[in-house]
Amino acid sequence: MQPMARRTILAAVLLAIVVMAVLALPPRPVAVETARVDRGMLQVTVGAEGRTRVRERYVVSAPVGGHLQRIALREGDRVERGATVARIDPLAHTSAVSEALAQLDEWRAQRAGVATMRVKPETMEQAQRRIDAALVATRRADVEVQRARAARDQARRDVERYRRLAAEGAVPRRELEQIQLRAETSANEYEAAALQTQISASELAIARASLRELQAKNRDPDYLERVYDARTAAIEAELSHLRAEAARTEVHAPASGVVLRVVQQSAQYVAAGTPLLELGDPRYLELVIDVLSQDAAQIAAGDPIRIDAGAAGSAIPGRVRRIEPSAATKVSALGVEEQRVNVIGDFAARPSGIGDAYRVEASIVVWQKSDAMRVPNGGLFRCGDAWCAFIVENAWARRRTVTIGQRNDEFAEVRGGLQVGERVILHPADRIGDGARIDVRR
Amino acid sequence: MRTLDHKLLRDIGSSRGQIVAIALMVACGVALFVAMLTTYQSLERSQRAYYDAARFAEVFAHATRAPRSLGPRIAAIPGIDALQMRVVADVSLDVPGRDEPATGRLVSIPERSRPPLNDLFVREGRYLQPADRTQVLVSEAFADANGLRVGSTIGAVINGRRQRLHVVGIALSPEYVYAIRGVADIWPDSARFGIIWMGEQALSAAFDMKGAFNDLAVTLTPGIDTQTVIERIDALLARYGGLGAYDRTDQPSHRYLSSELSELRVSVVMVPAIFLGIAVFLLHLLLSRQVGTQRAQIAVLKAFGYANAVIGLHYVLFGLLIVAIGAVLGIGAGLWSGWKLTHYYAVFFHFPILRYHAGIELLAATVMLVILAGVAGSLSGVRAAVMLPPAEAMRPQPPARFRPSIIERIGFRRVLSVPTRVVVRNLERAPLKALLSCTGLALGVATLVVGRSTYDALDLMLTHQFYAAEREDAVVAFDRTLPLRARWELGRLPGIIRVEPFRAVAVRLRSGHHSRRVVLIGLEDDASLRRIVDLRGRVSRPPRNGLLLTGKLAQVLGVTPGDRITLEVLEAAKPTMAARVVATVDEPIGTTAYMELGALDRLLREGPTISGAYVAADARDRNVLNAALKRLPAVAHVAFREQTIENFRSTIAEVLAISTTLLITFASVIAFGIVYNTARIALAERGRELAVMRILGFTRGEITLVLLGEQAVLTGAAIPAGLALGYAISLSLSVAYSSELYRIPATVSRATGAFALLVIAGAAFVSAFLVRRQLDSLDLVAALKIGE
Repeated sequence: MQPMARRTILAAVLLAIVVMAVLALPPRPVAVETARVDRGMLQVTVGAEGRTRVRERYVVSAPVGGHLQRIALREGDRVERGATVARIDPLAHTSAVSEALAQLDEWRAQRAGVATMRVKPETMEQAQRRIDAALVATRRADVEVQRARAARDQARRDVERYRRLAAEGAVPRRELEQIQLRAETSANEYEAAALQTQISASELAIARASLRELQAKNRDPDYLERVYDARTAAIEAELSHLRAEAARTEVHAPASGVVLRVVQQSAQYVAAGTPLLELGDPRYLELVIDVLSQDAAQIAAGDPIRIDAGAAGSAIPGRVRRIEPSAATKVSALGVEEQRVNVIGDFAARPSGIGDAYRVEASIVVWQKSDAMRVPNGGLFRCGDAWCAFIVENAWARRRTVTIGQRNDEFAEVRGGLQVGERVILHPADRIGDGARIDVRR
Repeated sequence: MRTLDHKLLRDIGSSRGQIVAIALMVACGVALFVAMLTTYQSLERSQRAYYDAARFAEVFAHATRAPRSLGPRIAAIPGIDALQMRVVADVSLDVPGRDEPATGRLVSIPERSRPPLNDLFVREGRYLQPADRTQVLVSEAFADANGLRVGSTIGAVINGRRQRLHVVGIALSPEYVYAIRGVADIWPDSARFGIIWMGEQALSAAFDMKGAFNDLAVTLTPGIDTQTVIERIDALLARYGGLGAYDRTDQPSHRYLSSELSELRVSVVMVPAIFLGIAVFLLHLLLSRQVGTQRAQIAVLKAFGYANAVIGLHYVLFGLLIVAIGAVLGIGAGLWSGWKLTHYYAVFFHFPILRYHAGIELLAATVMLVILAGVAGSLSGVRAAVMLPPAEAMRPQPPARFRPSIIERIGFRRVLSVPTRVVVRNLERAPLKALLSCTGLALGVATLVVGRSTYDALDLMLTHQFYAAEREDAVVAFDRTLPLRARWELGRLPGIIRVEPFRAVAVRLRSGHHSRRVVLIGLEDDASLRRIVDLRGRVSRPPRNGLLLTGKLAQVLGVTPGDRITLEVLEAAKPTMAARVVATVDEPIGTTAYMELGALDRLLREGPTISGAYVAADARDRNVLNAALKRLPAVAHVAFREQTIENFRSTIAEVLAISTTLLITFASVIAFGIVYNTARIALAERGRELAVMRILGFTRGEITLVLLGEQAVLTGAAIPAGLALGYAISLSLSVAYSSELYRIPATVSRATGAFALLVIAGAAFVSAFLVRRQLDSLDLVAALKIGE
C-alpha cells in the first residue's frame, strides 16, 4: 500500500470520527406532540356550580295546630290537586276556644246582671193595682158624694117643711130640732164625701205618677243590655269560627305533582304553619347558578348553558332565563368573601335522570364562534407581551408570534400568525428553540 | 542488595512513562475508593451521631385530631421508650422578597423545655421563650435560601388567618435532614419549603388543637418488633383519624438519606474495582515485558548467586513501588475529594455538624487493597523471573512463531501491506493480551458512557416528567379537601387559563403479605395538563372501574392487571374494600395509584371534593397570580413547574459539570494508560525489529503503523464494544437502582456516545503521538545492540 493511500485512509478515519461526532453531538431531536390549527366551535364560558330546582314548589304546611297523623305519602309519590295529603286531629280545647268560651260566659253573666237592675214586675203590678184601686175608690167617692148630696138636699127640704109645720106648730119643736140635726149631719156627710172624692182623685194621681216613675226606671238598662248583647254576639261568632277551624282536619294538595320531600313523616303535634311536605313537578326543572358578580356582568339572558350533571354522557343544553338583580356576600370554598349572584336558567329539553336540587356543573357560554380558527392552549407560550407558538416545518420547529382573541380553557382563537392546517408543538420543552430539530410523536 | 536497589531505581527511571500511567490508574482507583468510602463513612457517622444526639424518633404517625389524654395509653404500649405529641400543619408562607408563596411546615415544640424527641439543633439565635407567641425557629436551609436571619419576620396564613411570625432562631432537626414535603417530591426545594418550629401553646391555639395533637413520634426500646408497635399505635389512633403509623424506612428524610447512602456503598465497590483491575492488567503487562527483556540480567544475577526469592522480591518491589506511588497520590486526592464531596452533600443533607472523617482502618484497608493489587499485577512476571533457569536465560528469548494470520490465509494477503500484516499477526499471536487491552479500553469507553448516560436518563426523566406528564404551570394544593366548586374559584384568579382538579388520598394497598402506603390520586378523565404517561410517551387514562398502578408498585405488591387487591383508605370515612388493578404504567418517579376523580369520590363515599389543582397560567400575570394565591387561606402550597425545572436543571448542571470533568479525567487516564503502555511495551519488545525495518527501508510512517496500528485496531474495536458495554451497564444500573422512589431509565443518547468516542479517540491519539515521538528518536544502533 502506498503511503499516500495510507495517509488518505488515516485522514478518512479521522474525518469519519469527526463527522460522526459532529452529527451525534448536537442534541437529538426532541420528541414532541403536536396539534393542528383548525376551525371549529370555540366557546368562552363562565363556569360555576349550580343546582336544579323544580320551577313551582309547593310547601304544604299545617293549616291548624293539632295532632298530625302519620303521613303515608313517600317522596316520589304522585299527588293530584285536591287530594288529601295529611290529616290533623282537631284540638279538644284550644286555649283560644276556652278563652272565647270564658269571655262568652262573662258577657252573658254581665247581661244577666243587667236584668237585676230593673224594677221588679210585681212592683209595677202593685203600682197598677194601686191605680186600679184608686180608680175604684174615686168612683165610689163620686157615688158617695151623689148619695150624700141627695141625702142633704132631702134633709134641707125636710127642715123647711118642719119649720113651717113647727111654726104652725103642727109638729113639736123637738121633732123640728131632730130634723134640723139630720139636715146638718147629711150636709156634713156630703162635705165629707166631697172631700173623699178629692182624696181619691189625688190618690189616683199619686198611683199614676208612681207607675210612670217605675216605668221610667225600667227603661234605663236597655242600653247596657244592647252592649252586652253585641259583645256576646261577637264572642259567639269567634267561637263558631274557632269551632270551624278545629273541625278542618284534612290537608289537601294545592297542586298536582310529586312529593319532593316529606318534612314531617311521623305522627306528632304540630303548630299551625309547620311545613309538612313539599310538592312539585320534577319534570319542570330550572337551574340556579351562583356566579361571581363580576362574571354576571358578562352574562345576558338567553346565553346558552352547558350543564354537566355528573352523569356519564354529554352535557345537557340550557339557556339563561334571568339574572337576579341582587347579589349576596358569600365565603368561597377558598375562604374569601365575594359577591355572588343567582343566575336562573332553563333546560332546553326535559332532562332525564336529574331531579330537584341536584348539583350540576354549569358552563354559561358568554361568547362563541362556530368557525373560529383555534389552537390548543398547550401550543401557546408567552414571549414578552405577545403569544408565540412553535409550528412544525418538516422536522424543524419554527417560532411564530400569534395574535389571539378569545380563549377558553382548551383553545384560543387565532387572529393572526397561524394558518389552518399548520401543526403546533404542544407544551414545548425548554430545549426547543426556533429551528430546533424535532421528532413528532405519533 | 544494593545492586538490586540500584537496578530497581534504574528500571523505574527507564520506564517512567508507563509507570506514571499505571500509577495514575492506581491513583484514580484509590482516590475514588477513598473519596467514596470516606464520604460514605462521614455521612453514615454523622447520621448516626445526629440521630442519637437528637433522639430521632423511630415510629411516626399522623392523625386528624387526637386528645392528649391518649398519651399515657400510647406510652403504655410495650416497647415504646419515649413519645412526643405534636401539632404539625402545612401553611402558606409569605416570605419577604419572594413573589410566590412558600410552604411552611409548622411543627409544635414545647415552650418551656426542649422537645423530648427530634430535638432541634439551634444554629443561630435562641430557643423559644414562653412569653411571645409569634416567635418561631426556622430551618437552616429555608433561612439560607430566603436570606432569613434572626429577627426577620415572615407572614403565614395560619388556619385562614394571616399572622406575622418572628424568627428567633435558625435550627436543624433530624427529621428534616433531607427537607422534602413528602415522598412524592424528589428534589428538596429549600427556597419554597421550610420547617417552622412554633410554640405548642400558640400552635394548638391557632389550629384549635388545644389538648390535642395530630402528629406522634416515638422511640422504641431495643429489640422490640416495630411492626407490633405500629399495629398497636394504629389501633389507638384509628378513632382519631390516624393515617397509619410508619417506621423510619418510610420517613421521607431518612428514606432518601439511606437510599443515597446505600447507592454510595454500591459505588464504593464498583467504580474503583474497574480502575484497579485495569491497573493490575497493565502492571502485569509491564512486568512480564520487564522480565522478558531482562532475561539475560536475571540469568546473570542468578548465576552470581542471588536467590530466587530475592529476585522475586525485587520484581514484587518494582510492582509495589509503582502502586505505592499511585496509592500515595490516590489517598491524597481521595481525601481531598472526599472532603469536597462530603461538603457537597451538605447542600442536600442538613446535619448540624457534617465532619469529614477518614478512619485509620480505612487507610489500612486501602493500603492492603493496593498491596494486593500490586502483588496480583506482579505475580505472573515474578513467577516467570523466578522460574527462569539461569542457563536458558542466558540465551536470548526464542523468537515467536511468525506465520500468516487467518486474515491473510483467507485471501486478504494481497490487500495488506507488510506493516499491516505485522499488525494483524501480532494481534493474532497474543489474543489474550489483545482481548485484555481491548477490554480495558472498552471499560474506559463504558465509564464515560455510564457516567454521561446518568444525565441522559435524568434529562429523559425531566422531559418526561415536566413536558409529557406534568405540563401544568403550577400545582396548587389546599390545606384540606374542598368542594369541587373551588375549581371555578381558582379559575377566576388572574391569568389562570385552565384548572384541572385532583384528589389525593393516603391509602394502604395490600396484596397477600405485601402492603404499601401510597397516595391514590384522582384525576379527571380529560386531563391534559397532568397526564399519566409512561416513558415511551403512551398516555393512560385514569380508570373508572379500578386502579392504575405505577409498574414498580404493582411489582412490589406482586400483582398484575386483572388482580384484585385490598384498598384501605386512611382518610375520611376510612373504608376498606377490594379493588381491581386495571392497568400499570411505567413511570420513572415515585409509586402512585391512579383513579378517575369521580370514581375516587364515589369510592371515598364523598361528594365531589378536591385536594388541589394543576393550573395553566399566563406567564405574564405570574406576579399578580402569586399575590392572589398568597392571600387565599385555603392554599397550603403552590409549586411552579418552571421553578422546579430550573431548580432541577441548575443542580443537575452543577453536578454534571463536576462529574464530566472527573469522567474525562478518568477515561483519559484509562485510555492513555492502556494505549501508551501497550505501545511502549511493544516498542521495547520490538525495538530491534523496528530498527531492522527502518534499516531495510521502511519509512517512519510505516514502522509507526506497525507499532501503533495494533493499538488503533484495539481502540477501534474497543469503542463499539465499550458503547455496548456502557449501555449494558446503564441497563443493569437502572435495574439495580430501581427503587420505589425512582427508576432511572436506561438511555444512552447519541451525544453521550459521541462524547465517549471523542474522549477515547482523543486520549488514544495523544498517547500515540507521545509514542510516535519516542519512535522518531529511536536510536537504531542502540536498538540493534540489544541482546548480547
